[in-house]
Amino acid sequence: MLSDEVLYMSVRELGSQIKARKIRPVQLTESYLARLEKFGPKLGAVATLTSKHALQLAKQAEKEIDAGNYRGPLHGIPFGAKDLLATKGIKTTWGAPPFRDQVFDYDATVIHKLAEAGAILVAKLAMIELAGGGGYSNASASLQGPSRCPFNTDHWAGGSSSGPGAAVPSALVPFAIGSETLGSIITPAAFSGVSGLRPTYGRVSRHGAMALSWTMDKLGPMCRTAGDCGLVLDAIAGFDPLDETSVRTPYISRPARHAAPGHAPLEGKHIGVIRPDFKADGDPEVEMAFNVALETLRGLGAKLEETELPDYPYSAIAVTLYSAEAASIFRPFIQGEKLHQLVDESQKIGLVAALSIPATDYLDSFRLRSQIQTDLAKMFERFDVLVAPSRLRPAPRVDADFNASSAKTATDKPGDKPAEKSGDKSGDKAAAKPTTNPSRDSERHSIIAASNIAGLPAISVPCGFTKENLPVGIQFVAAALADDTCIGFAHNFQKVTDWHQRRPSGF
Amino acid sequence: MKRLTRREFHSLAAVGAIAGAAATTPLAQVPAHTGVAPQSQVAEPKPPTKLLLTPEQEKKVHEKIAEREQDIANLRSRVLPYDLEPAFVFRVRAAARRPRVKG
Repeated sequence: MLSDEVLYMSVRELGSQIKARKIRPVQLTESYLARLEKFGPKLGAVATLTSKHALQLAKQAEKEIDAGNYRGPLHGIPFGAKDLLATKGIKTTWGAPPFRDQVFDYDATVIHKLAEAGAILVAKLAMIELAGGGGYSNASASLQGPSRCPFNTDHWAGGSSSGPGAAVPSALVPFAIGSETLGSIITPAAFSGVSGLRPTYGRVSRHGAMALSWTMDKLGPMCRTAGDCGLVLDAIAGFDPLDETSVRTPYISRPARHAAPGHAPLEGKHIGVIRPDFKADGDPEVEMAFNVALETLRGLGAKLEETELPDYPYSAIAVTLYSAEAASIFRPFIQGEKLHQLVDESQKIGLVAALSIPATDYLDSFRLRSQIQTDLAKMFERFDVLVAPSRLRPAPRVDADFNASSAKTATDKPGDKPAEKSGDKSGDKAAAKPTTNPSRDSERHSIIAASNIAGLPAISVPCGFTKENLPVGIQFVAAALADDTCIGFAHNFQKVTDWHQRRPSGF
Repeated sequence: MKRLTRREFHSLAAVGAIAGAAATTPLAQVPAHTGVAPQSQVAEPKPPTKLLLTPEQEKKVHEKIAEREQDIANLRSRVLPYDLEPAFVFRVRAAARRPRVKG
């Protein structure tokens, strides 16, 4: 078996070692499979191991590389996929008991593209059932049980891409594919110390991914570095005739540019800072880490300016959009007996209630979406990126009831105003109780909801740890199709910080 | 299932239109054969009728819908410009080409 030193390498490092034939794909695959078997159950990270399939592909990769047919930086690299991606002949459970035996006879486009790049699927990873489409009240809302943060296993890995959240920072896989409708990559990236990229809507084909919301679902890489996110995006981005919403604009991954001698890497760059009201909504340790991160960015030469989002009811719009679409997608399921096999009661209630969303509310949300797209685009005439804390609080405990105040972390004060209004369908509840009528002030900081409504790219990278050893994340949001801008800022941030290199003890 | 006459259809559609945005029971959920009009906007929000819910679950669904009504108040209070179109695009699709049948 390969050493932990090797298995914690970035995808880029592993790729160059494979290319140089210093690491062999079969040995690498066997080593990750061994870790998945050993630590997967402890972290609640795995839905299905694909050992036999993986070893076949690894042998094939090895032969190809030996024959001089090296396909590129993902050739021979193992990966995991959130269990909502269709995989031919391998179970795809959508994290939900009613679908525990579901098997598709085709691969999702993203799986197909990664196979073409020579990457090796070693595991389908755990997720919150149905990606939390109805809302959920606890970390156990999954066929696979709760996924745990590797840095502090008493706490949740975040959702709904919970398996990738647990598996990537503990080096059970070098990278994973997650999905986001409203916070499901950014949240586990923040809670588990992952570098997670939510690409521009349409950048990555949704074909073969469980549909929760046709107009808001995105697939993206979850890795240990921002640079790796770019590498993986390179392989999975692109137009797909099987997904008419996929964009034709090509994705061009630009290797991180080095600053000219005597110039700071982010010199001349403008960053808009979305600073939430931490006293009302957040955690002081998160605030402290965020402030230090801002100083780091300033030290890299960027010009920082505090700003606010345009005034819209982002949370209500986002929830209306995805709930109405989820109700339409799952109507036969919701109206059938299998609904009652779901783990979480909140899911059942939320899905049923979504059936009665008026069409006018749905359409009005879409009309406001037009205005939001225009107004946010104007912000990017002033700023290269917007930054905000990825979550206002660290991960809650795995046994927390997200609907109760007990979901708050130990650092929360009793009587704190509930919920961070980022609009995450799960994370809001994970951080505290769901709210009614978020205040206008808090809506002006709802960056997760706003950017998901507008389909903008974002990346979350670790920017600190709390005293309880819980990761804290900072997110960079860029204009539509400027995925590489997000990655570039995060990459520069990671060049001068080492939060992303921390390893969880015991793994 | 009984087919609706044109008159019955217009009767149902007219009531639905008057009920407007606040009507919480979609037209499609009203059993067609009864000829009963949809719930008016003043009626209590009602979950869909075909569901297999316990009384406790039905109560929670009512609560959830009421909660959403509160959440969405700000959205509904917006006055949208008449010419503001939704941000989705419908595209026509060319019919799939079929191979010519020989002979």
